Amino acid sequence: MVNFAEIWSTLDWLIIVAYFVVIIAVGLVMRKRASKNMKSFFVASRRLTIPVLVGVGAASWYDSWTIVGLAECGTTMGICIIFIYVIPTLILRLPLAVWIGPLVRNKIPDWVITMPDLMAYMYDRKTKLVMAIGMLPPFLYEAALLTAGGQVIAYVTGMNMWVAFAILGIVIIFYTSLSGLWGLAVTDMMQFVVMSVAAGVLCFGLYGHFHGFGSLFEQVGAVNPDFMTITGGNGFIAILGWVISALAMYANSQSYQRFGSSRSGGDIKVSYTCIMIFGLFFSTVMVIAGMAALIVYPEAAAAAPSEAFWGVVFTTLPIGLRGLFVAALLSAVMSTVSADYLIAGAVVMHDIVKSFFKPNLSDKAEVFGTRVVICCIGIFIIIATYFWQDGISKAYYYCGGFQVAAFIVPLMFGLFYKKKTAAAGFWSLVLTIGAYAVWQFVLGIPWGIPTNLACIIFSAIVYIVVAKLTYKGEEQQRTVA
Amino acid sequence: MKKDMSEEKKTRLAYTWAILGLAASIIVGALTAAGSDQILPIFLGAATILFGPITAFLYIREVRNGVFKVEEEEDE
Repeated sequence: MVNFAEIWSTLDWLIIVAYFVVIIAVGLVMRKRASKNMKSFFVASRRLTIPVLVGVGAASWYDSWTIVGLAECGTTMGICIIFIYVIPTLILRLPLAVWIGPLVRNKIPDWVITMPDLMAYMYDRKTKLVMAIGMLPPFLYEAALLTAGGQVIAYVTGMNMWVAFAILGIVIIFYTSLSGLWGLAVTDMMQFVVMSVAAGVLCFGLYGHFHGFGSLFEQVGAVNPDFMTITGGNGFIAILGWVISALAMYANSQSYQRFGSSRSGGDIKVSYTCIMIFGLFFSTVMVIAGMAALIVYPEAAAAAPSEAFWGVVFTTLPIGLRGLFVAALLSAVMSTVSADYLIAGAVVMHDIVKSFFKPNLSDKAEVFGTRVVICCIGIFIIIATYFWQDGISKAYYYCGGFQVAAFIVPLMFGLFYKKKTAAAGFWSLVLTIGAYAVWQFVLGIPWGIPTNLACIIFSAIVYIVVAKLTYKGEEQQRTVA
Repeated sequence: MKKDMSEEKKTRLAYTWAILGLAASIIVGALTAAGSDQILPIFLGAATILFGPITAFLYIREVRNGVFKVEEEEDE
């Protein structure tokens, strides 16, 4: 295996240090702009335009899982992951970009700034509270992301892993709590550029190393012929599970925050279609890099695919560019974690404390409270990294799946179902959270049907049945009111 | 401040990007399935390496046009 610390140069160090310094400086510079009220702090006063949205959208959507996780999939599954996840992701998310996002931005009133607010607008306050509480456990996923980022710093620099987790976590807390989405509008763009250039450089590095991709594909096919087939030897249910997971962004709070921060629906349409094309190229490069890891470091790939991936990065890229690639991974981690910290702070302060306990809280106090919550959650997540040592994929599976399964039906039906009722939104949300736990942990995924798929079907049935039972009653109440 | 593009124009642009995205999916899928030796790495490498800097160029132009300045004026 490669001794990372030995080939990590001063130039690589300089790149990483410069990267951290600039990120912190942005937090300080943008602090004043974000301090006005919750609308300025959380959705950048709804002023973001196409190129800014491309940066904030892409940097938050594509996290360390898109780099290390997809590379691991490339190592363990071959090209099929491009066909069962990467390409379906682009196709299935197009309606979100050209239809749902603009609808949320153009038709929803100005007071709706978070996803629980959207629930209150479509259903009632009770449903808002359930969603706000339901949004909190998936934030544990940030611990997995911090673990991925900290591990890389530790691998390449030889630094103690826990010190790396703490440094990374504290920098994110600092700039997110100070500058809100205004700061992220600058840092995310920088992080997006770093990710983009680093992926391109890695692709050309692999091209140079293998003298084209032909020999790489041939060697992968020789290791396992299934790795060069479109299905990869996976069954229908397994493929369906991957395809469904591509729908995750429909229930992702970051997506709705970004939609709310845009200047208009048209800006969302253009920026998010661009982001999806970038995602296709970026993800494909990572999958192919993972396949290269299988060939260059076969033993390490069998034991720890992510270590083999970093081995490939360090052997194919020259000095300096290695630092750039590590910065790209840190960018992916930091942009996603910072966006989620911001949302977690708003969920606690805006959606729970202000909505249910302190309705007379001033704008300044709300922003201050959100900053305090971001600091507390950030510190909690740094501590939680201790529990996420056994891999980022598991964290994604458990925490990411929960959100999609529980939130997607109330969100989509609330936007488009004409006979929606508050009771339907509430019960589909509550019962699906319970059903997820039962299907996943009590029944142990019966018949191999993925939990998110089973729960989405269950949630839709509950929603339609309850809506049919309660529609007339609620309509009468509305008429009387 | 520079005049903004109309919503109709943005919608047309978005549909063009959506079609390009679908075409790119087919191209990447076909080249990968066929085990492309030269075209796939050059296409992927060029696309990823250029995407960020081009967006950054447009972003800087947007900043000059006042995307952040508007907020400063509102603050005052």
